[in-house]
Amino acid sequence: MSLFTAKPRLRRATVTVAGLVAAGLALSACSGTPAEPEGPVDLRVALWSANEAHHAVFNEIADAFIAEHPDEVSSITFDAYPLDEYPQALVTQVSGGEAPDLAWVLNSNSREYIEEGVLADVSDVLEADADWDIDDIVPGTLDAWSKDGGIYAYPFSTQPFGMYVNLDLLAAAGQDNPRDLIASGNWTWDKVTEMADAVSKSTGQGGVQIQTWNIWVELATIWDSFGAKPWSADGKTALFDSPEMIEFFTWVNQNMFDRSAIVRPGETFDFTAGTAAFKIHLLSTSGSLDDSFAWDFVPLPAGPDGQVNVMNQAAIGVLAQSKHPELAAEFLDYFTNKQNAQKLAAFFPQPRKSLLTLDVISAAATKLNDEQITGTIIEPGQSAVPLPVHPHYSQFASTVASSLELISQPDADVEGILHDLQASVEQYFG
Amino acid sequence: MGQHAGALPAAPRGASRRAMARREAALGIGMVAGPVLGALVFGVAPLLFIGWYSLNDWSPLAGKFDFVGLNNFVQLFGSSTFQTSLAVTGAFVVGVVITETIVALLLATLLNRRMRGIGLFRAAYFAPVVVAYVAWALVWDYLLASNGAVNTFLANFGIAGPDWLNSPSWALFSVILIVLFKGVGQNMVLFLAALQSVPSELLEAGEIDGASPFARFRAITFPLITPTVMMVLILTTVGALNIFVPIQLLTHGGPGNATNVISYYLYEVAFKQQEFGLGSAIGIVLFVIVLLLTLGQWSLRKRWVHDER
Amino acid sequence: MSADVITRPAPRRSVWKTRKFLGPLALYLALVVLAIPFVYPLLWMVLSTFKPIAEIYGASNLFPNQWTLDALGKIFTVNPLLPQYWNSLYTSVVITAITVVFSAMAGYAFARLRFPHVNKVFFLVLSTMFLPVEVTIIPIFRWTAELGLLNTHWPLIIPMAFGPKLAIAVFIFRQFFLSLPRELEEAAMLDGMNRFSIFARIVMPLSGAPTATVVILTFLNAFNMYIEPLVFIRSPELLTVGIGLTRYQDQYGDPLYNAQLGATSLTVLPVLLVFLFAQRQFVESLSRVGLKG
Repeated sequence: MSLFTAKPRLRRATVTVAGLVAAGLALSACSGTPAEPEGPVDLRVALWSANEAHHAVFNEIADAFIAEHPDEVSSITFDAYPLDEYPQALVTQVSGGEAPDLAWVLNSNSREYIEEGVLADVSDVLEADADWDIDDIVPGTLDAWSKDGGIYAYPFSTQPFGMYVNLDLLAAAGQDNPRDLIASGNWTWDKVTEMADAVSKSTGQGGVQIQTWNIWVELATIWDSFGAKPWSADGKTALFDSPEMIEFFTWVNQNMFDRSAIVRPGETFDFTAGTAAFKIHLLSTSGSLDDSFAWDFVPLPAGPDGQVNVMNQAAIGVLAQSKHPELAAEFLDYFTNKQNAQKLAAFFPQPRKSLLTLDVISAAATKLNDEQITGTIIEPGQSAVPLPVHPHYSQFASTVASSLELISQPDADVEGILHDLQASVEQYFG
Repeated sequence: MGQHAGALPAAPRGASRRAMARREAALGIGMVAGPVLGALVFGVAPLLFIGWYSLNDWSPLAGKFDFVGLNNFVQLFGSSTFQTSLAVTGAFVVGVVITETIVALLLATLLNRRMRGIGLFRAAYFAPVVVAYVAWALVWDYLLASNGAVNTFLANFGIAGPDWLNSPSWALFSVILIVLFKGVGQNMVLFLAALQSVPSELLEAGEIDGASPFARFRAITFPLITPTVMMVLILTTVGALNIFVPIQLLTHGGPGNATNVISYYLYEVAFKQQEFGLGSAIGIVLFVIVLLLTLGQWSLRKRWVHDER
Repeated sequence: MSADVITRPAPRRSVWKTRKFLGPLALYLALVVLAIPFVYPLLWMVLSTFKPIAEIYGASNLFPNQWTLDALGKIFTVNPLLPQYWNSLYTSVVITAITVVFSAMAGYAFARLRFPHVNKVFFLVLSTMFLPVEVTIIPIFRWTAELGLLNTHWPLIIPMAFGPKLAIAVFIFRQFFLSLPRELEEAAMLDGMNRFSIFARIVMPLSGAPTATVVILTFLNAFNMYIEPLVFIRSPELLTVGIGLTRYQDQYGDPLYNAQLGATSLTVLPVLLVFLFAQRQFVESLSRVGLKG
């Protein structure tokens, strides 16, 4: 009210309010850095799984850690966000200065979080700990999470993609069993799309279900076998309109509309519900399948450029912004040490030699048989290539997604769309 | 300005009058302080701040805040996504404003009579207004799926409905329909109130003169309700520029950029791509659009609106 | 098609006789058809709660072929709907209370009291009226973060209670007060009542109409809040119900259609019931938005 008691002037009022706001900011800036509290602290872990079984194991490990460090840690909270919103929820918290202490990181965000300093280097803690046993890690699996000798996250889930097949739908459409095709060397995308089209035509159900355009990097499971790459290995050149990409997406479009081999966007056919014949995914999907239809889990088919196994990783790291980075690093070390990694292996294949065994993975994927585990997970895992990553991924991810939506329209001008896409994302490369 | 109002000439008890005026002024200032501070802190100050932010390359994730002058605006107006977004926003706003105004007027005219059960229909058309936007959008997401209820219904007549929300040619239209059915009830009751204030003698006189219902509407009713028409136009325009929930829930601006209206585009650039500077530049553009449209309609109102006074 | 036809005693031509009968019938038919897109979605939403997931797509039946209560159990367990409902309810009530108190006072002051630069100050408030929330959210996000108030309800309540929507409420009250006859207040003033008492004890009791308008408008707006919690809140139990509705997924991330529709119905039904019982008040209140009194 004092603003107006003298000779009130709008301009002065504005200045005063701006001053008040500034003062408020300054005050909060001072209070933002309190002295490190003496007592035990709370750690917060952001993740995208709301699975109760996962959380039970995480809490069990966390409770053991708290019991070992009663003076330092009072509680560890696991905050789950839906996968669709996860990256955005995490960066909003980071940019708001409300970062969690640890977080799961998607494969596609690895490079940018490391380059932009979102994750803290935890190599000192991990390498020094004999229980963590860095020599047990499968060579190469930490590459995406390392930079200049530092380790920024542990890929607690490292596994190749495989192809789920609905055997009932194939049988209903009079198609071959994929195992026979694999044996005869005919397990190719040509054959798969032919079978998918047949399923769609004779049963009215869907063919190949492609998860969603939002996580388009996972299309690498197909385009890699076409010899297509979205950008050069050094990340300096975008290759969205390369001849291979054009060939690949033309093929996608044709299989959606010239025949109905690939489920179109907006169609609600779903592999888990038994209404789609094929779906590329990880071993975890097997957990949500019941006995309502017969299915198999086989390696990825070969494309024009041969068969390529593709690996997906999800990692857990310490946020650079954490208020307790040392403690968080210590918890990361504990959470993923050799002993606890065995517990995590109940759900996620670990990048550890000691845990990449039939026994361990069978325990994780009880619905998969030995042939599926050995042939689709362990063996392909040896040669699997990682998904493409880029330091500016989130800046162009939605642009790519919208272009792919246009490609998945009838009569789409695939080449033109890809040229436009290339032109509009080039600024983020080089 | 009223600052001299208290100083009536040569009043016998001038001093006490002046004291009273001072007290009134103090009271007035106290009573308006809340909204005035609110307008300054949550209206004027944010505008000043995004003006400043828009001149910077600001990526909170990388901890970067560098002055870049007008670069963000140059980048923005050179970007095909932004140009598309402006065009989509224009089409969306025009589509919503035209359909909402016409349908609201039509419904109000139909309901403006004494008939059994008319209140029930009024309630029916108005009900979506009180329903949470998220709920309304979610339901239509189900209904408009390619094998959802709408297409299943159309299939009964041998019509193969499009994939409404995933087709570049139908998505914007679908969103406009969803917005129309959600909000038209509000405009309808505004028109209904206005129609009921039109003197029935005038209309009866028109009817006796043999004027057709449409002619009566054009010559008598419409001129009398122009203030409401203007109000509806302004409120609907501003509401349409504010659109967010159905876009974020149903299309994410897609397919392609078919529904990428500027309010959603801002959110995506700022909070998904973490480019706050560029997002602020979009905010400035959005603000200028709102400002120009409101001022434009305001001045149009002065010239066009029939005034009863 | 005119309604007056019904009450008019002597139609001039015989055609009018058929119109007298057919007119209302055709009208009712038109009204029913027009009501479909407004009412069907709401009925479908409620009834689909009781459908198995397979019946939700690819079927045009409104009523479930096979009734199931599967979804009901999941509504409150998959996502903390009750706390979210409470959050929406109490933030909306607080925002509405603040808005009514401050806008009524300011509306009265702008309509009746004389103080320096009253018009300029009113124009300042008015000019923020149409500011979209998207424009101001980046700075407000920044300030909230600086104040350490992210993931609290403060950034939901304060900016909405004191932001552009308050300006709209001020405008509604001011228009109403301008339309009130001054005589009553002048009489009270002669009795020696001070201005604030006049406002509080004489004017406000007469202001049921604009108060109802502002209460309904503000409450619906606040209850509809979406982008603010999306940006400011991270804990599921602090979210508002609108965002909560988008969080119905099973443990593998697959959508739980019927639980989502059930939760949506539960969100909508209370407001809808209140509306049906107080229909006239709602409609009349919202038909006053922006008009004189």
